Amino acid sequence: MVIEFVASQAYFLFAKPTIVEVNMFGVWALVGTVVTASLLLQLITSYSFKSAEFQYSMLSFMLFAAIALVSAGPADALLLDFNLASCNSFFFFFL
Amino acid sequence: MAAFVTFRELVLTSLESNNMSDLKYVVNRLTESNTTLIWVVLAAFLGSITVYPAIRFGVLYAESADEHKDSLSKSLLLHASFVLPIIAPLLWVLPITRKFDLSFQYFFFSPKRNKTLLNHFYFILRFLTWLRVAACLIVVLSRFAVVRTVVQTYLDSVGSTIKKISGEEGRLTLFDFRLKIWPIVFYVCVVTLQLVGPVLLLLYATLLMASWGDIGFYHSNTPGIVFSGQMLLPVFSFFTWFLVTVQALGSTLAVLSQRLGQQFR
Repeated sequence: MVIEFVASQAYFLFAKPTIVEVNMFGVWALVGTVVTASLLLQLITSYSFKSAEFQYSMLSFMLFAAIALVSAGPADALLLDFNLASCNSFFFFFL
Repeated sequence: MAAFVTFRELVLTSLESNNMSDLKYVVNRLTESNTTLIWVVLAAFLGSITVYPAIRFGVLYAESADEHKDSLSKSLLLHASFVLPIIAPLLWVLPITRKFDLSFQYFFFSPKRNKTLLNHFYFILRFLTWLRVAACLIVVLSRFAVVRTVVQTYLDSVGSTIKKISGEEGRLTLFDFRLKIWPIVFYVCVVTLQLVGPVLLLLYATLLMASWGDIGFYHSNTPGIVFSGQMLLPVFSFFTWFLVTVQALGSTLAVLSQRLGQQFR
């Protein structure tokens, strides 16, 4: 959700796309944001902090953080093909 | 942040002046890896909210595949919806994608023979992105195609619950009976959301990847300036891969645990 918002804003600001590209990108970013927000709302409204579900969620969050950290870091350089480092300089605009 | 950039430039220039340009790569990786953490945290969040839907799909897929053993088309669709998310992430694995050759560009994209190195990379990247987008769209289609069957399987579990309740001893009022059935029936909304939500997320991540990757299925784009407008392609490539991988991992774990449970029951 946050990425989609930041990405769309950045896209409009810096890439200066044509009207067709704006429509294409904006539609997917908007609908993706709505879906993510609804999933987030479902998560927040159905879990309480002491419940087993919430604890399992935290555990799975840590598990997936480990998986994502490995796949975006060393695995990106050795095994997987994202090339995330190439787009990092883009965000120096915001910093 | 200006201080950070100055520090980076200072280090790079001092490395150059001291004849240590080999370390430039290391410094660049260290100073540029700061945004990776943002993607990691967001990916972990997305993974933790979509893994339970994936487990739910795995359990329901196993039951549904048992139920529809006789119907060839339904069982084929079900197996495809389970197997395709396992195959799609392999398109990001470098030892596999390295096999793709310059010859693909003539087959899929441009008849122009432009043998510069940059154009070569551009075409390979676009071909791979095209392949990944197509694979993910097929995954999404197969998942949507089985939603109806799988939800029906979930609703059929009401029948087994009724049998289980009827076998119990003691008196059961109609109200108590309904109290046990209602939650299962009304939970079908949540189950449908769990089946559709992550797949929709995957669809939008895929389409965003296609947008940034300059991929169109109806027209062939001719590249103007090479690599322009692809700044966020790696990010959406990563998120698409991650969402498919979470689906594959979750459903595989669920099916394995269910099958093993049946073995030892």
